[in-house]
Order: sequence, then C-alpha cells, then structure tokens
Amino acid sequence: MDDLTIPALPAASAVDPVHGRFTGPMPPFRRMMIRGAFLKVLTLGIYRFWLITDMRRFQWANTEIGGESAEYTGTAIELLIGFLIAIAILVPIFVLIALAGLSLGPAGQFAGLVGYVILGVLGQYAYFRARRYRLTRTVFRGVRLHQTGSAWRYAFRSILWGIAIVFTLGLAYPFAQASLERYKLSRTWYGDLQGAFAGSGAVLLLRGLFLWLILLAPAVATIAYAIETVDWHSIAAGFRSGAARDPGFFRSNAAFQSAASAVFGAIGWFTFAAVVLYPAFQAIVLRWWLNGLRIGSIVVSSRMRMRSVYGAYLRYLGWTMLVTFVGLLTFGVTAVVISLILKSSGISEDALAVLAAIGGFVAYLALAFCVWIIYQVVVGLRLWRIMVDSVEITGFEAIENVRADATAASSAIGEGLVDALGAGGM
Amino acid sequence: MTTFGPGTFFDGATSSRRQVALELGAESLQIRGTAGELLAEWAYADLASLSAPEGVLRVGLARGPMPARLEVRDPALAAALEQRIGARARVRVTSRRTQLRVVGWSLAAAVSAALVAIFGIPALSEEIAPLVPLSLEQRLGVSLDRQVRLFLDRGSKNGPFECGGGQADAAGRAAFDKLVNRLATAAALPLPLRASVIRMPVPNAFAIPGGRVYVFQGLIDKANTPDELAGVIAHEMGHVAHRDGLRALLQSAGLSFVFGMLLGDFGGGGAAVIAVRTVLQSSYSRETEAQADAYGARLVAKIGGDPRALGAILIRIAGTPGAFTKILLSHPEAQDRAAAINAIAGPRPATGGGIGKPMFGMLEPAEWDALKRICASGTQPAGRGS
Repeated sequence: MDDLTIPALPAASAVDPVHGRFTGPMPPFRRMMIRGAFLKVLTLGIYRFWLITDMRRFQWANTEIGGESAEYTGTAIELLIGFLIAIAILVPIFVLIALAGLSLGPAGQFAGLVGYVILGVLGQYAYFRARRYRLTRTVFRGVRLHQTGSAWRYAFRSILWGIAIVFTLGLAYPFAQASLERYKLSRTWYGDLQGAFAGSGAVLLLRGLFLWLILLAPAVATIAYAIETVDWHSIAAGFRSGAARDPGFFRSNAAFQSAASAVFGAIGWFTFAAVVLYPAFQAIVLRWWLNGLRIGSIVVSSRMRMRSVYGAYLRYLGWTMLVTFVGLLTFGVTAVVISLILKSSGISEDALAVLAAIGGFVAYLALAFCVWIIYQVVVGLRLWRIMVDSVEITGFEAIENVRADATAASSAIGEGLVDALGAGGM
Repeated sequence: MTTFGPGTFFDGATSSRRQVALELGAESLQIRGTAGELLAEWAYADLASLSAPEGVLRVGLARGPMPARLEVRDPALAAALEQRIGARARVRVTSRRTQLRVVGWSLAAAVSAALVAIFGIPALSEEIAPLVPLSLEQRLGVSLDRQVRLFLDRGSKNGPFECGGGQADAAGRAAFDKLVNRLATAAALPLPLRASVIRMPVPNAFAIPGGRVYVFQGLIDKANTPDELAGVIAHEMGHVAHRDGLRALLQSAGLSFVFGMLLGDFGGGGAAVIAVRTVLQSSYSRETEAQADAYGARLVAKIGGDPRALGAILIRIAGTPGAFTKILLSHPEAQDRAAAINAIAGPRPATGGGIGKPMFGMLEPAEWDALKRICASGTQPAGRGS
C-alpha cells in the first residue's frame, strides 16, 4: 500500500505558518458550567463525570489548528467505570494504611509511610494512564492520538525527580520538567507521526531563576543567619535540663529572638511572593512547554504573554471578591430578616441557633460553588484559550498524509485513579 | 428539501482531507469524490452527530475501529442530514434525559448510603467489635495513647502533662490508684485498666480503646467528694467494659469511608463530610453515654459509694447548656442524665452519705486532700510518666 494515491488536496490548510485559534463562545460554556455545577451538588458529585465530558467536548471542538477542529470522543460512563475500578484498587490500600498505623506501633507507622509512598507512585502512574485515555479520545482529521510507554516507569522517574526537586530546593524542577516531557511526548503519537519534546531544562532554569531568587534567597539567607548567630549548644542544653520549658528561656536569648523574627519574616515573604509570582511562573513554564512541542517534522512555537496570564488571574481575583462581598451582604441581610420574623413568631433560641448554623453551612457551600465556576471559566478555559491562540506552527504540511494506527483505545482507570486520589489537573 | 451538497471527508485511514459531494438517500448517505467515485455509503441508523464547533455538523459511524468523519458546513444540507440521523444519536452535550437519570440514580445512591450510615455501620461495628481480640485492642490503645498525648499536650509551664509523677505528688497518686483499684477490682474488666490524671483545666474525662482512662485536672478541681470522682471514673470504665471506644473507632472509619470515598469531591465536600460525621456520631453516643452512666452508678453502688454523686457532678460541670449543645454535644443534657442515674440508684437510703457530704468509706480525708493536690507540685523536672 506504499503507492496509495491521495486525491488532490484543497490548498486551504497548507499555508505556512499555520495558527491555532480558539473558537469557543464564552456564554454557552458559562451556562454549561452553572448548570453542571448545580447538578453536581444535587447528585453529591456523581454528575462530575458528565460535566467533565461536556467541558472537554466543548474545549476540544473549539480548538482549531489549520482550519480543522479537534474532537473529544470519551464518554461519562467510561469515566464513571474508571472511578469505580479505582475505588476497588484504592480501598484495600487505604484500609491497610489505617490498620497498620493504628495497631502495629513503630512498625505500623513505617507500614503507613510505605502506604503513602505507594499512593504517591500510584498518583503518577494514574496521571500517565489518564493522559493516555485523553489522547486516545482525541480525534483530529479522522485520526486518533495515542500514547505508548510504561506508566510505572514514568511514575518512578517522576518520583525520583520529585525527591531531587526537594533536595535542591526547587532548582532541579526545570530539568525534571524537561525529562518528564521528553518521556511523555516521545511516546505520544498522532497516527504514525511520533511526538518529541525539544525544550531544554537549562533554558527553563535561566528564564525562571529570577523567580527562584526572589522566593527563596531571603529564606536561605535568614536560615544561614540563624545558624551563624544563635548559640545552639546552650539551647540544646536548655532542652536537656528542662529550662527550655520556661518561655522566658527563649525571651531572654536576644540572638534567638532576632533570628526567629528574621525566619518568620522570610516565611511570610515566601508565601506572599509565591502567590504574586505564580502566574509569572505558570506563563514561563507554559510558553517554554509550547515552544518545545514537536510532532514529526511539525514545529510548534508560541508568543504567549505573561500579562495575559496575569489578566486571567486578576479577573479571577476580582470576580471572587465581588461574589464573596455580594454573597456575604445577601446572607447577612437575609439572616437578620429571617431571624427577626422567626423571633416574633416565638421560636426558641436553640432552634434559631441551629437554623443559623445550617444557613451558614449552605451559604458556605454556595460560595464554594460560585468560586469553582468562576475558576473554571475565568482561569481554566481562558488559559487554554490564551495558549491555543498564541500557537504558531511550521511544517504543518506533514499533517496531510498521516496514517492512522489501529491501537485499541485504553480504559479510563487512570482517569478514575486521578479522580479518586484528588490529583486532578490537565 | 436539500439532498445534495458539498462536505469535507476524513476516511479514518489517513488524515487527508477531501472535498466531497454528498447525496442523501432514503436510508443512507453517499459520499462521492471529486471525480464522482463512491468513497463511502453510510446508513443513517449507524451514524451519530458528534461534538463540533458552531456552524459545523460533524457525523461519523457510532461504532467502528476507525473514526472516519464527515463535516458539513452548508446549513440547509446540515439540517437535512441531522433530521435523518435523528435526535437520539446526538452526542454533542449531555442530554436533559441523561441529566435526569443521573440525578435520579445519585439520589437513590445517597438514600442508600444514608441508610448504611444510620443502620448498617452501627450494626456492623456492633458485630465486629466483640470479634476484635483484646490483645489487638490493647496495642491500639498504646498507639492511640501516643496520639492523645501528642494532640492534647500543649507543654504547660506548670509541670509535666501527666500529674502524679513527682515526689510531692506521690500521696495524691497513691490515693488516686486506691480509688481506681477499688473500682477495677469490683468491675473485673476483661483487660487491665490504665487511668491517668492529665494537666488540663477543662472539667472532663474520657476513655479510649485498650482500657485507658484520662481524668482531667479540671475535673478533680470540680469534684467535691471521692464519690463524685469515683462516679466519673466508673462511667468511663463502663465505656471500657462495653468496648465503646473500639466501636466508635469502627463507626467513624466506616462513615468516613462511605461519605468520603464514594461521595466526596466537590469544593465544600470535605466540610460536608465532617459535619455529617459529627452529627451522626453524636447521635450514636447518646445511647452509649446513658449505658455508661448506668454502669457507673451500679459500680459505685457496688463498692458502697453514693451512685447519685455522678449526677451531681454532671450538673455542676454542665452549667447552662449553650446554643449548640442539644444537637452537637455528645453527652445528653446533664439534668436528664442525673434523673436517669437517680432512677437506677433507687430511693435514697436513710443513713449513709448524701450529696456534698464526703463518704469516708472510699478514701480517708487526708487521702482525698492529697488527691485534690495531685497536680499541685509539678514544676520540678520529673519524667513524663511511663
């Protein structure tokens, strides 16, 4: 079949470079989210499988590259079955962790630790399997994507990198990302076209180093300062003699006091800077990732802007503050009015307090519900849109004669595990 | 009605895009290439209308290994084709019908989970608790004891967490042990009792699996007579004898499984799970508290003490119930409990100790004084208690 002839192609798609375009109108998506979140509450969460499926159908169908849009072919029932299988796998592990921790003393605590390590590995395994599920449910121009490779290998690689990230205070993160993306993308296929990742860890490190310095340099400096200036021998002696029980013991140690306030200051700075700089971090990583994408001879590049990512998060902040303010105001006024009406009808104090508690709980749920919808619309979908719209593709003519691969579609166990372990994310 | 028109075809074997001519027949759709050759013929019954951007009708075979696709942009032709395929085969968004079915089945599942939580789990833990070997419960006690100390010990500056360890407290400790031993001998518990006094100002006491009882310093301060203290310890021994701690542990594990694993996920789900557990568990414990009261009253009576003393100290501690106590407090209201205890105690004997009049059959006055000061002199560095 090598001399398979392909009829003359319409020239529309073959103009280089080709651009990505997100065509989804926001209002229907917003309506879908509000209705879906409502059904999710009504069904105690079970509807999430249908909502996720609808969200993905919308997101995929409106992602257009070279004039053709993608299609998501997964179904909610597959996700539900995957979740049930995941429960069957996880329940024995959770029960073992609980039993081991309660009954066996130090050996049990060790067993519990082993259990958490297993859950950690399983989480990464599930992520890789879930990725395979999503790829095999993605159709573009009548051809499926798929993924090969061992999920266990990916999981161990990811865990080892995680350990390295902790020990290097985050400096290994760019290399971990590059290594894991290489692993994933070189096992990603569009028909017979193999993916690859060309991003380099060193480049990401250089781009993000300033963030690392802003975040962690004060912490490192203050810890060094504390080690240097405080007389730790006398403090250790104080603990041995029991003198450290007295709060005055630390209060009278001036060097310890100043070192402690410096460390607390650094922790406060770290938290503040982490929140403020997170969009910058995300923008740098996403852009670097998009620029590293390759499929066969197709090269992706992106000019995604940091300020558009900040825009998404600022909108989120603004909407959340507005909804919280309006919600609290509404709740307060309603509560006062209802309590006045009920008091005049002679209800007991106890019953009123219980009603107030229930009302407060419902209000809290309603607020969590609204914030979740705002996040999905203002951050979730918008970031995807920013990414798709920023993409420029060269060598797209290679897309014209990709041969489909008859690989069987994979099951949704990975999706189920990701869901059950609460480790979601795209 | 339009039955001819242009479309874009992907055959599913390669990614190549072809402009095609469509012809809508009576039962099937014919897809022809630019030269008029037949590329595919699809029966309407096999087709599904798939998710696509606005303004595009995308159809494909509902079943089959290769995702061959046909896209129609001409509105009239798209409408005609969609009508032939029928609304049943639309897989673009979840239909209202499916939404209703999911809601219905989820509510059925919620009812079933609630029934399991209210009837199934208490019954199950009732059955399982007696099957747990005492040795396992004791080991559980060791591990829980560590967690209790970790959780409650805030490092008081007045002395070690456990009272009665220092030299000056030896007399108080001896008096406490005497009281506990008298009760334990009369009770003949299946596993050894380990009672401790802990340095916390709250008037309270509790028991955990493995026969471990903790009496708070605040309770000893509030107790006017040895009988009152004996009543509270005996009440906690009732929990030990009935293995209530083990049962509660099994119940909370079961509840967190049912509500946490199967239903939790949504933003506020965690809070909902905790709220449900608290309310349900407090309703479990009302009955067991009443049972422990009865056990405590009988045990104190058995060793010659005044069973009514338990009711008296409960009322003194409770004061006036606050707003949430009716639902959330795990102990039923003190007045009701005292009344139930008095009913068990029977008519007050003509002679013998009354409320507020120390019963010196339990402890000598000097011993009671020492016991009241069991936490008084803890400032010297002493071991944490073993």
